[in-house]
Amino acid sequence: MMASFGGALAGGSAAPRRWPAWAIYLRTMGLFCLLWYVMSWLTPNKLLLPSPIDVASAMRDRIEDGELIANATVSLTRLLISVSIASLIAIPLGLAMGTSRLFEDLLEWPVELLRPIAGIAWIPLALFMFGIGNGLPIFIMVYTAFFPLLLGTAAGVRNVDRRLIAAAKTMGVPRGTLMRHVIVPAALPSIMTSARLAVAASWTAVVAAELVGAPSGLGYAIEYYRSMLDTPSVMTFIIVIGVLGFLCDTALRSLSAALMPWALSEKKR
Amino acid sequence: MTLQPAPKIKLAHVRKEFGGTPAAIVAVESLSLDIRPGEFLAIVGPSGCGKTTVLNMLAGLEPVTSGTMTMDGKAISGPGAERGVMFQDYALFPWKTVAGNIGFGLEHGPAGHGLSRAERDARVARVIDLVGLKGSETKYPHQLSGGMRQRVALARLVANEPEILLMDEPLAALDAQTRIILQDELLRIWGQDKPTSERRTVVYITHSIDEAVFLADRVVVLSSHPGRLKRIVDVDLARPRNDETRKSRSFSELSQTIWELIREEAYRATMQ
Repeated sequence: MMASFGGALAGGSAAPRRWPAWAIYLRTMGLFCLLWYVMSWLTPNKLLLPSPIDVASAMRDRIEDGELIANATVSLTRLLISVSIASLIAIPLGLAMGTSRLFEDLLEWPVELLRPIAGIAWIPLALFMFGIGNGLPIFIMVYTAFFPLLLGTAAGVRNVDRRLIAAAKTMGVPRGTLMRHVIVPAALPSIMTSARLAVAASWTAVVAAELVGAPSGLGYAIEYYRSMLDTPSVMTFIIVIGVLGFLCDTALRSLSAALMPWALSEKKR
Repeated sequence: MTLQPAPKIKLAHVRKEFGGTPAAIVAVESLSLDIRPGEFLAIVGPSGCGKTTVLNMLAGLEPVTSGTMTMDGKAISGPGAERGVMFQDYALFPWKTVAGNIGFGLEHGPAGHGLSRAERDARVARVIDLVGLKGSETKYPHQLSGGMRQRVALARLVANEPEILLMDEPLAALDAQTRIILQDELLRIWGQDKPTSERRTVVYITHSIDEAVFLADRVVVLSSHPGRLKRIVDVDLARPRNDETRKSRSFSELSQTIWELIREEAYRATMQ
């Protein structure tokens, strides 16, 4: 994982890399913190931009009083529930859309009209419908995760190599088997990519939804410490959101690699 | 005269167009052909003669535009397990290993009905051995060379034991030595040591005239643009055929005859 991260940082540069990946990573982070420190030192009001040292100490406090773990667990649980619900609805619908003209015609317009509306646009309405609690963030997150999953699955199914379907048909494979053993595995890389997009979008939405409509979670914590004028803690939670988002994507990439050993090495070639 | 059995597959005035009516491209025109049971039929012709289209129609993957195509007297209306296909570009399942690809039809199709798990595995192992893929069972297609992929595709077809084997340039990606070895194997699989009644029916598309003559009972020569039947050449070389056959005078004479039939068009296609 570290290697691919280093690769992403190095970009397409052809020059041989003299530093190991972890050293490059540390160097970049060190430079960033230095820049941050200088900026905060230049800022007259420490409330507006706390220094990295203040944030580090706030982070230690929030770990010690359990706030960080508790709120992160709440948000991650919501993410897991929301993406699971979205997958259970969107993937079968996407398979239907990709294979059946009728489903495609039925769903195309509603989807195209709803898709440009950001999940957070529904927050005010959802406040009436669900009140403050788990309902609102989960609704917003399911909504956000739904479209990438639906469209990614449908596109994956439509792009399945026709020759593979032809090959299975000449072996007399029945329809149901064709779906399960040819179309789904062939569309799986596309489904997994859309799952990564869905998780990323959903994670972005959780913060917005919790800022307004939940009594717990990372978004709620940001809002709470803002009202306390405790900006180092606000920064702490912002950093946690970033790190957890990155870790979720890393976990999904590992899951993809485990599910599709054939697809990963295909890309390496 | 020997008594001719009823044809296994009968093509009558088959025409195939692609595209819309005003600008339709005619791929195959008024093709009539009887394919006899147990015969090894090769189809050769210059590029653009519709060889692959004929094979796809036989497989049931492309409908005929007009004319009829029947198997055992029944119209061919779609793909079926009794007509196995080996595709030119192999069409291997990338998520299946070598063994998984070869056993796919046995696991999910009618070819494996009535076979136990152990019997299916044994057949897959035997076919893997036959095409020389031992040791590569757990590899994925992308880890194989072109020649090895082609052997997987051949093994997948053979494992399903279809009544009719439709093969589209099955040995094209192999090096010369492997090709000769697999030609011999192919004849053995087809059953050249057995009486005609126990042989499978093979329709074999190739661009290699020598290969067509070495393998086939009859060679169908097509002309191009549109694909039409030019001539059917009977290959009366004795069976079983082997290296002696390749050296024989009649082998080279037959190859020469067929080459003369397509030479002009082949040159024209190349120079264009």
